[in-house]
Amino acid sequence: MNREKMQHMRKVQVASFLINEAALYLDVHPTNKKALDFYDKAKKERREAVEKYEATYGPLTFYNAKGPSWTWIQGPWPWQNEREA
Amino acid sequence: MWTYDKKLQYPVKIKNTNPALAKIIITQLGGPDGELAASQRYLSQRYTMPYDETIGILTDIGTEE
Repeated sequence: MNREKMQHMRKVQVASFLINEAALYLDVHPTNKKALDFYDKAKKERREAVEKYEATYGPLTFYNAKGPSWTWIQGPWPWQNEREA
Repeated sequence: MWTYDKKLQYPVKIKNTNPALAKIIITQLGGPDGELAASQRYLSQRYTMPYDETIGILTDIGTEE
């Protein structure tokens, strides 16, 4: 994975992690204003990061795959290094 | 990694309740030979698959189950 791709991926990972942690907190503190704002901010960050990543490097989920050919299954897969792929 | 969609894959309409049948069905889902166990095997076996096609199909079957 080249440096630029890694930087884009990192933004998706960071925003996704923030949402995950916010969700865990909100599951048991559903009316906490600070947590809700934190979630909203992370959600916006993630949406932008995913849009940027997918536009250049292909779909992150099969809901976002598109034609003309099925690129969803193209490696490298997340657990593969350069040599394996 | 995984995310959860808050929806059923297929609509369920139960006309008559049947606890005996329910027990069988819940075992088919979470039991020793159930869908959940199968899904984990698919997702584990994909790591040794030689082609993108086979990695992809095991990933997507495991995801569905």
